[in-house]
Amino acid sequence: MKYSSLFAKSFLIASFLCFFLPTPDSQLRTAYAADIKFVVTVDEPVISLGDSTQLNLNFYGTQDIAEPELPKIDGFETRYIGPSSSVSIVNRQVSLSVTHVYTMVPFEKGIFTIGPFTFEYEGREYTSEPIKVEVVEGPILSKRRSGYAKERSESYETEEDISGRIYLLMQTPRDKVYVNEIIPMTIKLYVNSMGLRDIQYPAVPHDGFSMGKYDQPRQYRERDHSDNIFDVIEFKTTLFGTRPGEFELGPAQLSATRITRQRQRGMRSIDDFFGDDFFNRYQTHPIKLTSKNVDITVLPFPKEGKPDSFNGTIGDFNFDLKADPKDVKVGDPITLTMRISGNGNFDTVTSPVLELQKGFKVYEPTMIEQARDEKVFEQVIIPRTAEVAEIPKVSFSFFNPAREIYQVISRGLTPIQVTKPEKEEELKIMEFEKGGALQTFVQEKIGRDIIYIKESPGRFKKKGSLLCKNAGYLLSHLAPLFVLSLIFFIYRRGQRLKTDERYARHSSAPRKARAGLKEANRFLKERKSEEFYGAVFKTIQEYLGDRYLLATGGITANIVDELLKGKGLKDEILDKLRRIFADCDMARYAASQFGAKEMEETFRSLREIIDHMERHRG
Amino acid sequence: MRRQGSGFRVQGSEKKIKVYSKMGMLFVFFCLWSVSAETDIDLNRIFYKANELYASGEYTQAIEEYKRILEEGHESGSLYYNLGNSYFKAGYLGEAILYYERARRLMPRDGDLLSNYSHASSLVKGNIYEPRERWFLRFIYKVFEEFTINEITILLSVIYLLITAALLAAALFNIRRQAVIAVSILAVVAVIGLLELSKDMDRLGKEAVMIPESAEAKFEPFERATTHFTLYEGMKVRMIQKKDGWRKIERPDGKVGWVEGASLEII
Repeated sequence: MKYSSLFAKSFLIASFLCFFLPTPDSQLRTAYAADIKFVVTVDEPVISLGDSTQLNLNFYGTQDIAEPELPKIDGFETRYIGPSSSVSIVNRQVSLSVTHVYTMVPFEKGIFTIGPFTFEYEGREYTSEPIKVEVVEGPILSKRRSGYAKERSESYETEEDISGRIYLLMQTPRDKVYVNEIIPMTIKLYVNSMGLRDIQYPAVPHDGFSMGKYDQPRQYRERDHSDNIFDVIEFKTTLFGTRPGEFELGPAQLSATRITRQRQRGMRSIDDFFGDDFFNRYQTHPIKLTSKNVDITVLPFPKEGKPDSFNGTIGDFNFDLKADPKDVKVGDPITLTMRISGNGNFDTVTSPVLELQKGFKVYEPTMIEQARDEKVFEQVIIPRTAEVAEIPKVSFSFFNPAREIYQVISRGLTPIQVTKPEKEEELKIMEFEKGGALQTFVQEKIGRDIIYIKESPGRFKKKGSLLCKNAGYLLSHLAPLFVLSLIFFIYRRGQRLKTDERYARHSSAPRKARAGLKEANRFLKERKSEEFYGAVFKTIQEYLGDRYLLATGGITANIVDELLKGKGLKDEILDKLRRIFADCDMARYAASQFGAKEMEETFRSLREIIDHMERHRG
Repeated sequence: MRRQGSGFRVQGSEKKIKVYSKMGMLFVFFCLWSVSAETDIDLNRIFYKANELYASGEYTQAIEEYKRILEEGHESGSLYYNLGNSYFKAGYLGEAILYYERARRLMPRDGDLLSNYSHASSLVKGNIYEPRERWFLRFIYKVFEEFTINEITILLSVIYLLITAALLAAALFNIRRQAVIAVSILAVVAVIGLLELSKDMDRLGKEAVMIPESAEAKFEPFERATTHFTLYEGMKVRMIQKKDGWRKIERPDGKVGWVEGASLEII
């Protein structure tokens, strides 16, 4: 049984007679206090393991409650979804409420107690009663569930269904405004003989405009031309156009829930009167209302008469200036307090401007105070000389949309008294002399101006020429790298030639062979056969000795068979080599036998042998 | 080489061609040198004439003469310095600071320039708090502020050569440890130099000076947008973005706003 006592039932019956609003068939426990109600509900009192239900913390009578800190609930995982603010009309009484909604997912079966929850508001504590939620395994059989849930309409009713009894109206006082000009916008909900709850604030598309927050909704009654009485909820806000053009504001859309009563067929028993069925006779229908659009033209500021100091301020303002102190010494600050008050867009209000600043060191103004209809700036100025006798005019310019003119309010000239310091500020410099005596002297006063021009032009260069962008300069950096690499290579080769005999002899073999050939060629041309064959023999000996790291002096024709045969050289080359050795031996004893032809043949063979062996280095 | 049958005549023609070619090259070289020398003489003449106008108090005319040199595509630190002085004397603080800034990029160590720049800057309205960087950064910037971009480039080249020489010495003379120390120190200096160079290069074309007496910096690049702060003549700002005729700028204290492009001139 959902209500614990007859007293509670009686109270609820009495409440039913007064209120048109049914209570949904969910468990609810309320904590009553003056003007504020704290109601904790769950959508489903019985759920399956794996399903979820919503936990609602309802605060009636106020919308000023932030998300409460929910303690851990045993057996459930909770997650905050968000708040939902609404306005309700019940028996022509308008009330505000906010509901903080949580999702609850059970992770074990059983019967769980949710709450009690306590919150504090304006120094008073409000505590809810605990409620029970049952978690079962498997699907829930069709039980008597809340008529509220069962008979809930799935689709929105259209305005055609209920037109004439409920509609939304959006209004602005004018359809032509200037850029940044603030105008009020009113959206009215008209309701005739209808129960509504969960009324949301209207949503208005407002491209090209900046919209403020809604004021507290107002409620009153009105008669239409057919003498029907309407309950009116009025939502008011302000907006201003951010750019010139023609715009279509809206349409405004408002969502709510309509409540209708279902006809009863008759009670079956007294329990029906007191039981849940009594409260299941109400249906709820979500509805969405739409207003008509409003055409608004946003005008740009007129070009004529625009002051130079104008920078977009719009409204109807007053400007007061206060300077304090007015009796100062040179170098002492004076604070200008500039107060702008009136009606208009204060976001566009900037500090008034000091017209002439000669004789003063002027600091940037800062905003120190802003209220709904006032803005205060402060600016510090310091007189530089004693000749200054007044603070120049300070002016504030704005565009007055009501009069459609620019206005410039000037304040000043404010007379001030500026005196020189009693004693000229002399900078005393103290210096220790050698010997310990402290000496003081006054620093010399120095005038200040720019130093004279340069007599000589210096060196002209092409405008904008930079070394780091010069390709030639950058490429030249490769040269040291190249030189470094070369030197390093040469050095390492030199070191190797000194330490590695095999490498040294092997490397020098071709060079020596070329020198030997050159010498032999010389003897050939001179037809000196003995010297020729001597040079040939020496050349081939040294070459083979360096190539194969052999003692030069011990190289004879035998090397052809002993060593060279296995080196992969052609037989033709080996034959030529044998021939050369044989000819050289012969020439030792009978050089005159060899004519030019023979010598040329020998020279050719020697060259071929060396070329071949160089090509087949291995 | 001698050709059969043609003999001496061919050899003589070739010789003439060589002689004429050399003479032609000399002539071209002389012409180029003359033109360059002539250009320099002309520029100097214009410069001295402008100086005379300045001395007689004809600041506006002096400015026109100095600018003729710029129109020829040439510049020098002294030219910009004198332009700065001329604008200052003529009462244009913004332009004076602009040209002093340009001169600082070419002769950053010149005492006269620093003095005049400091004096002109002290006259700029609207005191702005400039946050100080960390001490080591301030030290680095202070050191490298004294060098032009070209000087930093040359310094980096010298460091590069020294590193190359150190590596060579390490290879040739087996002084690895000393070479490593030397190369490390040089590398650190080079890295700092490169950072400063890249910072200076990044600033090119982005730093600007306010020219008109004052201008409003807006939140958005529209005339009717709300004003964020005011910029005054001579203030130095950094350009971040361009949009239509507007420039998004940053003040030394970090405040950002949009101003009309015509109010700024790039250093």
